[in-house]
Amino acid sequence: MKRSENRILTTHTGSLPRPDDLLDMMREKENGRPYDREALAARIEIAVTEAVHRQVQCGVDVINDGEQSKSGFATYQAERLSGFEALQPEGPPPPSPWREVQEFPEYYERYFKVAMMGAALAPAKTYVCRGPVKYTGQEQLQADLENFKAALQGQTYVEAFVSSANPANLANQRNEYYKSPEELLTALADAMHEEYQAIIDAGFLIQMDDPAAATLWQGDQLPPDERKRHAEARVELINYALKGIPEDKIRYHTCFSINQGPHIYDLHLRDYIGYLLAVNAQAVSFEVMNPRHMHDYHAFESVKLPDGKIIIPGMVSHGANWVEHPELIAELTVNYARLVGRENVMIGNDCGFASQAGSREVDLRVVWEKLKALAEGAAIASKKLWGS
Amino acid sequence: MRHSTDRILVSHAGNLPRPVELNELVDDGKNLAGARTPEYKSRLPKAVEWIVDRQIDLGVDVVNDGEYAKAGSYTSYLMDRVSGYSTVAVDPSRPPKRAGTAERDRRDFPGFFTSGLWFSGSGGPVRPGFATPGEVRNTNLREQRVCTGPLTYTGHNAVSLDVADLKAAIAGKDVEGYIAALGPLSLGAGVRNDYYKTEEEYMTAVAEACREEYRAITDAGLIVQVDEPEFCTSWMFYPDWSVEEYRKYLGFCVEILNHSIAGLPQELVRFHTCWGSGHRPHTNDIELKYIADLMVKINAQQYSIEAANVRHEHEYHVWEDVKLPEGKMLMPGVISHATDLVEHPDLVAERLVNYANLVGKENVQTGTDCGIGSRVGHEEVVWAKLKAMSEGAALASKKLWGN
Repeated sequence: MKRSENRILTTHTGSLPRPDDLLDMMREKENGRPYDREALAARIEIAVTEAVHRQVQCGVDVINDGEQSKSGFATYQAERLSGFEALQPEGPPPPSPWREVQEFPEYYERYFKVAMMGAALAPAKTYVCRGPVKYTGQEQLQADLENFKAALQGQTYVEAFVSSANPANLANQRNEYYKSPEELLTALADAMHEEYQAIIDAGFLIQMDDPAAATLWQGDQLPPDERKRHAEARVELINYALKGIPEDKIRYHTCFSINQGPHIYDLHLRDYIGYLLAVNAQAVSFEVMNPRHMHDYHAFESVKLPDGKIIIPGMVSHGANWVEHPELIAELTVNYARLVGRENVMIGNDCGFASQAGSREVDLRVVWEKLKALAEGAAIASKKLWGS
Repeated sequence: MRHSTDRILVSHAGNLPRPVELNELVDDGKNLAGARTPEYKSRLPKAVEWIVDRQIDLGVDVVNDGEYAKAGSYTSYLMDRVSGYSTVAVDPSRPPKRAGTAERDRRDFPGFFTSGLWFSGSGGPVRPGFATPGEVRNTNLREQRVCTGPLTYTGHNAVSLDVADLKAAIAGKDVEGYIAALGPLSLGAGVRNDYYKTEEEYMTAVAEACREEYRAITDAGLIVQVDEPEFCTSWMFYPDWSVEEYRKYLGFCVEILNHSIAGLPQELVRFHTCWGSGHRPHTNDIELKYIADLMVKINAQQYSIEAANVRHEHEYHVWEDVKLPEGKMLMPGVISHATDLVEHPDLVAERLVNYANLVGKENVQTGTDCGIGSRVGHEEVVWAKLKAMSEGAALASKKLWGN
């Protein structure tokens, strides 16, 4: 994995907005209605090329395919695995795990109704595992990799990555086949390994998203001892799932989800970064560009970054249509660099701009402007840090 | 006006959520005409007392009336208090006096502006952080206000009620009171003048009309907050001006503003400006470094300015180069109206300390970027933000005074 040798490198966490006409086609597919497979495939191919060119134009160094083919950063996974059956939704949706929902009940009532549900292409599915889990997504994966390779032709960039879902995403679904949750997770890890290996074999880095890490896998409310045990156990499972993948090929991302509400119970970076750094991934990416976390860089006054690791703090928000000022990006980048060493810092965004395909918290044009601001901010910071 | 002599004092920039008793009369903001009814007015004294006590509970030191009397009509409340303006049909043969809100951004992000999302954070039904625009407010494009006669302030009775309500609500409590009043630019600069010979003469008259409102407030010993977003946002109304041209215009604006507060006790004047309230890219905002030296020429004792967002957060550095005049105070926004995320008290403290280190801790008060009452997603969030602000101020005070 390339690091910031002589300047601060820029990247992002993965998803970029899909064009409107692509979304229209995907919506048909996701709702189980008839759609033109070839037309969809052709549109995705063009969208990937556009996404790649856009990133390069905006000055992003470590780029991807914008996840253009995927319905969501995690939802696509079920399509590529055997053993899972989609369940018809029954009864009201389960209560949100966010503690803020109790504290701000009326706010969230409206938020869930008006805001969050606007993003899904189709009603959220829940799954049950009723058979052996095997990877069956070879064809879709190959199409993704080929589209991406073709789009990269002739482009100038530093490195390329492909997002791939975390094995743990489906581990909490109903399980009627495996004896224990651990056994299910093992099967998931083994199955997803095929995808990871194919990505590496194609010469790309893997970006893995794990929003749950920022809550210590829902362990943030446990008493300290229990919390530690719970988090360590999860890290062990994750590392089991990542076994065999070279650490220097993995970027591991966490964030506070697309919730743009009050966030008063979020952990501080210093509370979860240690566990995140214990994951066998060379780079860790996390959310800090918002008024709940902008001061989180202080974490590295007490946490020592292990040798070889790279941090990718988010320097543009996925949830606000304000474009971050390059001077502010530079200032925060320098704060991190002074604490962990400039060569160990890359900068990215807080979370995907369209983690669900239909999500449009941030307007398309604004996204490009944010990526440009990111590159400008990196240039200003590099000048301060290298004097070049 | 108190200085932060032994701790950072807490205030904010304006409107606050209405209590149920008022809100039901304006149908949760959908029927602002309800605020003109006698019933609404009769409920104001109790409502103002309620919001003053709410602010005190949340740790606010310099409190206001929640701007309930204005009920969301940010500019028109003062229009109603000044005679000389008429509402006339738009004459399509005459070009508009100037471009519209956020024009420079609008040119760069046309699709975003069509989507309606840019209204989010401007008040109204479109909320920050919400993926769907919701219902976009209607704008009356067929009629406009025009100055057609001598401008005279007629709001003496109305403002005396505002003053009396706030005075009664703070009586005997250890707080200072302020009332926000629209600035002369924001009242008059966008309105066509068909009466006075020159724009200068017209704006001078606007300033004098405003002064009557301000004086009623300061005569009562209350602080007047002169709300003047146009000090920053006029940059958008004249999208082709250079910085030099804009600074020249601001020179004129400073004269008008100073005329509007001439003869008033400076220690009772707070000046507020911001870059408009919309949740939008703001890539074209005029940067503070180009205008701060002009702003401090305004004869107010305190300057309240937006600073708690990703476009303006870093601008505390401006005060490394621009000297805040002796005896003056800065009130940086440490809480934003454009996000529903509640600012972390540690971040609020860090922001305040950054300012204190540059302009002196006794010269810093907390502020919000703009009025937050109607602009964040829900009043529940407003209360949490005010609480985070006073907690942050306490943390900063501890760092700065060691107490």
